[in-house]
Amino acid sequence: MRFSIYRFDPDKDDRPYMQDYDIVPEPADRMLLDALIRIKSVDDSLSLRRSCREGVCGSDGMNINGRNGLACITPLVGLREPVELRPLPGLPVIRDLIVDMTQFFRQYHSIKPYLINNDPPPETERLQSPADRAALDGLYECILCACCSTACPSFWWNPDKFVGPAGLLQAYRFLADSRDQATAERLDNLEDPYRLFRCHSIMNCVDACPKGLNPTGAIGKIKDMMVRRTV
Amino acid sequence: MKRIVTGAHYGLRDWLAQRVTAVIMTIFVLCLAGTLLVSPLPDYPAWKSLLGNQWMRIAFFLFLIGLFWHAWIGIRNILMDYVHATGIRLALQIGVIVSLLFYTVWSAEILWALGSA
Amino acid sequence: MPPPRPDVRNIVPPWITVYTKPLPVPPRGVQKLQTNRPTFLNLLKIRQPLPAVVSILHRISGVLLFFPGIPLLLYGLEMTLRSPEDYARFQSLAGSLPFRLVALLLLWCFLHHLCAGTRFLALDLHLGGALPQARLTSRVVLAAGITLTLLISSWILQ
Repeated sequence: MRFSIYRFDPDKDDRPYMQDYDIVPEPADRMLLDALIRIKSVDDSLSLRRSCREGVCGSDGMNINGRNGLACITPLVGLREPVELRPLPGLPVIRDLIVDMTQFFRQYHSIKPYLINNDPPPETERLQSPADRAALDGLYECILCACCSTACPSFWWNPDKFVGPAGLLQAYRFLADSRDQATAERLDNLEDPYRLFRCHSIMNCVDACPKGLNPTGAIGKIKDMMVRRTV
Repeated sequence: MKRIVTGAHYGLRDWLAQRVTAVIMTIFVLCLAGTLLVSPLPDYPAWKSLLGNQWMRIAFFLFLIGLFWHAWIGIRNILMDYVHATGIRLALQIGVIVSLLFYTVWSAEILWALGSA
Repeated sequence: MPPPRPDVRNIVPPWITVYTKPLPVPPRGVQKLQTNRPTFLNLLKIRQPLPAVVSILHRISGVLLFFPGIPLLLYGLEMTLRSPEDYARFQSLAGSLPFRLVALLLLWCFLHHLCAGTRFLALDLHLGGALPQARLTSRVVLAAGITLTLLISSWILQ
């Protein structure tokens, strides 16, 4: 199989370039990550992040033939050759396929991704009805791989101001949580022409999400909450 | 230190106004298109008397106001996305506002210069 | 004779690099913070799904409707309402090819903007927000804009 991979080594290269690799996958090599590990055994200067190799840790997000996805859950079968691999778009490249996620996580932290509840903690857990718990389905599963935010043009143009789909999905995850008490503060924090309203519902995030989540829908629900409290 | 300050506490109003004006304009355009489909305008007197009607004139003017408001929000969104130098963005936004105010006065002049039919 | 020591490189997976010597450390003064960081954002190499294409066309058509759409609309309105002579002049102008091409483009801009905008309103109401529906409706919107443009322009010309 032929691969064409984005290479950049800050110690040697002035600018990035594409390098071709030809490898013969072993029968056990099912996913793109298996092939990348095989390439790395030939050329150990190739750098990429990976850990769990089963789509849970969210480290190996990359741009695969023009689409963002996780290498570990992208089957080799069906990939158009040469398989073009590039780092996630719009984030500064540290080396090869490794990007600097600082901006992404800064936006994630800005929405206070934790439960805010000022009641004294009970003896056991803070309980939820099954219906309240079900409201969090499709929200809590996010693995923060950044595939969605780096597929979003609004995040490309304003990564410092727009929270981005990943951050906004998590914002709604806490807005939708029956145990959270900071609804008003959270909505205040998001009521901003840049932070929330750069989303123009083009749904690239939904298209990219390797976990099949729907950030655009969650953003729409945040807007619903704002409309309900204002109108 | 470069600190990013966000939290302007507005945005919903514009987002909602864009949608409300869109709905109003769509209804108006569909009604107008339906009217023209049923009875196409053959000549100048018919066309003039259509817009000379006081109600039609007001409706058309409100449509244009909605159009200009809608255009302002849309163009400002585009400027916010692509133009990152604050000074240039402000200058362009002022240009858009001035042109839309000019269009508002112009449309009032066109519609009310007709005299009443 | 002692048995040969197993080479550690044969027992760890191939993707882990085992350094048998200490890592080379650059001499003091040579170590520096990385400052040169490129960004990959080549829009020709990033595939845009159909809903994104419909959306950017919504934006482009909106800009064209703002300019030259609005001034042309007002200018045409003024001209057709001013006097019967100006009305006749507008009618003869409307027969020319450049006028028809501009009118066709603006008609498509308007119809695409209308159809795509209706789709966005539906999305705001959480209708068609799942990916398969969103893909389908973006296809429908794109086709509807072009079809309506052709239908209406041929109806006007007949």
